[in-house]
Amino acid sequence: MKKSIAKRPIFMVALINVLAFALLFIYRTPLNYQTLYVGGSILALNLVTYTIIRYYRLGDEYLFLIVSMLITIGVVMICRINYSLGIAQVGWYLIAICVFYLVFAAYRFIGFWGRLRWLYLALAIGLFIATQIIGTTINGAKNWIVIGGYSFQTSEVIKILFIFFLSCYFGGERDGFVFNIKEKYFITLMTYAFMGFLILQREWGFTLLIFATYFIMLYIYENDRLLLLANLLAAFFVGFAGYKLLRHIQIRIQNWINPWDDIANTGYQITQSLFAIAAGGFFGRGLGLGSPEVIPEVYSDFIFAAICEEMGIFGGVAIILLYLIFMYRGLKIALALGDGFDKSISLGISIMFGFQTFIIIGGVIKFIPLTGITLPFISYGGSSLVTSFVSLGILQAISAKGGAE
Amino acid sequence: MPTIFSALSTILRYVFITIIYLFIFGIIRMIFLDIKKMDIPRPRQIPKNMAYLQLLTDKKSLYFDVDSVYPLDTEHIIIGRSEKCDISINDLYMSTRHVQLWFEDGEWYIADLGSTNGTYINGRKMKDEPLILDSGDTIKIGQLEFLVVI
Repeated sequence: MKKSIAKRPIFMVALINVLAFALLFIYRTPLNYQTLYVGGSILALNLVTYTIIRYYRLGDEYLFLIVSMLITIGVVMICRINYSLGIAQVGWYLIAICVFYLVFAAYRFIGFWGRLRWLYLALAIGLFIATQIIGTTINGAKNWIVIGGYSFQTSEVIKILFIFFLSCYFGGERDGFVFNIKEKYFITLMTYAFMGFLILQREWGFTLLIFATYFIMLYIYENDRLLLLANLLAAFFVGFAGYKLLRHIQIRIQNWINPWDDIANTGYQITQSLFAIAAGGFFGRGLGLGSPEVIPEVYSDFIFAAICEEMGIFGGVAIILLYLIFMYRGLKIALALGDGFDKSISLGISIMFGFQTFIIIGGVIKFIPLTGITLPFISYGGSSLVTSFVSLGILQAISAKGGAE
Repeated sequence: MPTIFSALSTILRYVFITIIYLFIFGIIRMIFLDIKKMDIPRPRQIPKNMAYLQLLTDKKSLYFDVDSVYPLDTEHIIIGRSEKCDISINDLYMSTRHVQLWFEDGEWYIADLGSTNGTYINGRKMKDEPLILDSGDTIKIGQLEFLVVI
């Protein structure tokens, strides 16, 4: 039996969109008709892309369904917090969707991605060096390159290059040698080199993300307990050394253990976030009725706190559940494939999405020390949104390939 | 205006949360059906993208001949006991012309042709009006149960 239209998930995405933007429309006086245009464009982009994926059978339809819900909630929150950023985000979403189709086509119809490991390495190192030379410092991290007025965060690109680089190895034969070093040790060395560069840029979040992805991939593919243990020890040692030597990390750990000590200064952000989550309660205060704008960076890293404040813990848990099913879908695509580059890539992407969500949500709720990283698909930010859609495009292409065989 | 807004927003917060959870529930349900479908691999003789009916009933317990797979290869198919039917099965519990399936506007429809013992979709007896079939639905006709794979 066919479900009626009202029971279809895409209809619920549309319903949330219409209701939330109608509410935002009367939120500020004088009435601003642009709100309706923003809502309409998001709705149109979601519906059109979903229809294309479904109608032309471009692989798994659930991935985009989940993402469209996340995007809708994200843009609603960003619009509510800062209007002009919301409009900018719609522009980024349009670009991201175009990139999504391009990446889909490129990955679907080009087969030699698994043989370009040196290219990925060279590109990543080139980006690192470029960031060091011509990079701009935004919010204490020197990780932005400004080209023609648009800034983009290089580490977002690097994380995708890293997955490709790892997959060239894990998806291959895995018993070769590079410069007389066993491949698995070479990969380990390179991972630490990536982490070193990211530490130089003070990208703690991405450093952790790269390490976690590498570690899980190693756990999945290699049966080398000793190497895993050595990695854990090394991570512990690096973390400890960082804590002893770097003031930045000391502050973060201190604000994790007890943010109330320095509530007016370094602990301000995290305590405001906790206040916001507490004020939300179970069902939230209602869209537009909270005051999330007191949290610094609430539209990007701390958007989860804003969602918890205005949509409640139930809303927050729903977001986590959405990421959970998204990751499950990614792993499912990987499991259905035979060994190879595609399997490794889809595993890497799913793991990375999972950890990225964990790292930032964990940081915002003070479960782990805070490291600045965006919440994929929800946070404001062009580079984050576009690279998330690059990953989504790759997953989608892999699932379409898997279905065609 | 502000009071209207806060009243609306206070009510709508429950609506939002309900819709989001319905959405999550819907997706999990669809994924569940997807997995259920994947348990039975596509038979070799069925081309890709062709819809088919997969027999779920154990063939050994039956006294008449029945295939384990029926491709839905034309746009209009009648199932019944008569030999003129597109899918003819000699099941005594089946009517001469029992049920018809047809493809229209991208959907497969099913309608009971006034059969004596009725047609059950997902365990529920279908009424007179036609229904649209989804992948993963089961059809029970006579003693046989089929899984729809679209």
